[in-house]
Amino acid sequence: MFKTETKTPQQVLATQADRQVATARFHPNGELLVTGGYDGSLRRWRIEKEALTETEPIAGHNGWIERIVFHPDSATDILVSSDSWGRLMVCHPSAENSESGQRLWKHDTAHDGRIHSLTLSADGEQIITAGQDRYVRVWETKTGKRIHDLNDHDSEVMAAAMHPHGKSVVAGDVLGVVKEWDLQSRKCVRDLDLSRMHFYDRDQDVAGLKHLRFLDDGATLVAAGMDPKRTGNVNGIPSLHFLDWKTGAIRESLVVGDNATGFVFDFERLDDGSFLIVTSGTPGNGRVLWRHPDEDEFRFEFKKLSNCHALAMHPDRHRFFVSATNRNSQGNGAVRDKETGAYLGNTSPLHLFELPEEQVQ
Amino acid sequence: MPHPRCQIADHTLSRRRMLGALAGTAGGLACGGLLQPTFAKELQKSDKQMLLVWLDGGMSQLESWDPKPGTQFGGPYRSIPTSLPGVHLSELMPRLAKQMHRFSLVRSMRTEDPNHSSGVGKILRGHPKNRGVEYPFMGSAVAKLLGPTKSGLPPYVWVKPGNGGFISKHAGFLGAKYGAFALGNGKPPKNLVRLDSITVEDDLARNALREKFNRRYAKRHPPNNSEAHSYVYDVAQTLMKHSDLFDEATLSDRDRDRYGRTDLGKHTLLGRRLIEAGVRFVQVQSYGWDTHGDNFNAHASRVPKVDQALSALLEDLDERGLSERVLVVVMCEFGRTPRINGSVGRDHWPNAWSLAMTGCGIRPGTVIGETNADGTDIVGERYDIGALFHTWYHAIGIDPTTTEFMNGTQPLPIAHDEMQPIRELLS
Repeated sequence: MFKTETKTPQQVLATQADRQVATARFHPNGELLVTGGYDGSLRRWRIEKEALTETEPIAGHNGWIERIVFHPDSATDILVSSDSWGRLMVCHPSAENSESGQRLWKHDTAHDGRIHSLTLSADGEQIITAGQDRYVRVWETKTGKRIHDLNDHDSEVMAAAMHPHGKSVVAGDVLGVVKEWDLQSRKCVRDLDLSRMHFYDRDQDVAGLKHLRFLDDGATLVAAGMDPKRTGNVNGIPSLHFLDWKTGAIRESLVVGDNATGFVFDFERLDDGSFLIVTSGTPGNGRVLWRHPDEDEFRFEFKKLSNCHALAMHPDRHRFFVSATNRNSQGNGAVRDKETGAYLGNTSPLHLFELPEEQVQ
Repeated sequence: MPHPRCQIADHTLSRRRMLGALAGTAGGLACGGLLQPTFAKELQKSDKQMLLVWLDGGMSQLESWDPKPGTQFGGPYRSIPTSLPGVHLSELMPRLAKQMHRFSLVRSMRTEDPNHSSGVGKILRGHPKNRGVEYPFMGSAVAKLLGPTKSGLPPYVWVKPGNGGFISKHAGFLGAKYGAFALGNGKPPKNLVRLDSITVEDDLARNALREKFNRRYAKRHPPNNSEAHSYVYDVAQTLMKHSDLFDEATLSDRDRDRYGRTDLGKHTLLGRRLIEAGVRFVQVQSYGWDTHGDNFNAHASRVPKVDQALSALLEDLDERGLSERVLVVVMCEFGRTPRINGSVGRDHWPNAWSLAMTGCGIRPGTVIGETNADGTDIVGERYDIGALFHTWYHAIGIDPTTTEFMNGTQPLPIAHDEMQPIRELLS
């Protein structure tokens, strides 16, 4: 199903979430899409024939769910999720029951406040979290046992990841200071400079860093987000910076837009080294981008969606999912339902795209 | 790129230099703006002072004074209990939460204007009826109504990031003399201190010569013109005697740490020192609160700076016994939309927002009004800024129903004449 013969990605499905979606990931079995957003629930969408069908959500979170991640082994059926009130939770997302029966464990105060970053080790056995309380923590996935507690950052930690060799964790903060932690000694062994992803003006620190991720078996560290240029009505240059892990220096930067394009909110590298990227800028700007670092032109630049926040790659590496925000989502007035007069919030259109067959061989 | 609803000019204020501004507005000085004499004499006896913390651009009420955690529009942050049972603030305000019993909130502000350019003026002028004249900003109005204190320091000092100078346009019809004496980046005007190459005797002789020319000028021009020119020089001379206010060596490390080594922290600390030195009205300004994008990270960065500076200020005023006669108000031109936009920001929202105040007869620990469960509307009575002007004038000892401005021969109410003070806020 959904196979196309075209040269560019095609939008094959569109549906609507009635609340804004901040993150989305596919189950490794390819049958379930889970989204997390501003409503504090993990919403489950089954891909059936040519439709996304929503099933019962998973309860248990508060505030915003901004990060979710699946264990890479589909047989374990493990989903890790975090929220903005500091809760970390592990559950079996395929379970029919949405109550606590499907939950493996949870920590209500894994962090004091917003968890900005949630990633897994390469084998999925450890969880790395970081957040508002300036802590970086490592947990055992199956038991919830806290293994490491790392705290030397001077500002909120926005992104963290474990090196594929499993011996060190890297974490970047609001100020663009990236620290490498040696897990055996639990000491910070070096600082890397991503200060270009921090901007300070008029008493506001703007954090440009959204994600840290290792590529090439750990030889490259990618930092994604924005090089901010302005506070308040924040804008800047959306970028992916590729750091050489050995030297810690930025080897190359991939600029994917201008000041209006906004943050790189999510991205995925395809097998041929190209990147799928979603951005969200202001006002109402958002892009779905496909770009290879060695090529001058975008392979695909889709401007019809507004404020894209999540990108989830299907395990078949052929389809990907994008969450956007409804058009005209910004403005000063009160948008009200014509019939009830109720004040309306924004929603998230959900889009499934399909890559052209030859591009993913 | 500016937000489509906000033009660049909306975010800037005039930074005309002191003398240039005076020269440019000299024609307006003849209008007068005198208080009715019977009241003026009475008001001179007052020693009340006022400090306004102005968060330009609009702080989110939902990430500060009126959190709605766990609701559709509540955002990512939790709320925390305060020293006032049953009252919660955003978790971004932990210090102020411990001092909630010292100050008061109005959570039911509804004002008219969603634009920065006109909204700032309407709020800072108390949004009186349109009477075909330009009303003064609050600082200028208080400077006129209460006059300078015995210190001789300028009655209205504006501590702000960026440029300084004498900002006469704040005075409206009162005339340039009642404008804001702006200390750009908290620094005194340049060349305030007498050069070493000029002797005291030479300086005195030069001033005597200037005064002679001023007297000659005054004979041929309307009195307010020369008054305003002389005023600026007098203010400069008084400030020269208080140069220690700007000497960072006189600041303790403890105070710097308590207030925070940020612009807002430094400027609030200077504000406290200016109040202690005898300035009648101090406005401490923070720019950049117009968070159409990335609102929540922005507030996570900004609100703790307000929390730190303001809590230190409240402690100090209380410790020094100044809270009985210094009114502190924290506000902006509006709040921010409950709806979270696609850029994870909040837009402009005058419909239901909050402000805070303390001291000078304001009943501490009072929370006025409320919004509905998800913060989209006010439940019960709502208040316009005019009611707050009535309240604040009462607090500093002015009865706005009997006190009037005089614009030449035209009497004008000092606050919206169809509004009343919020009695529950007054002791």
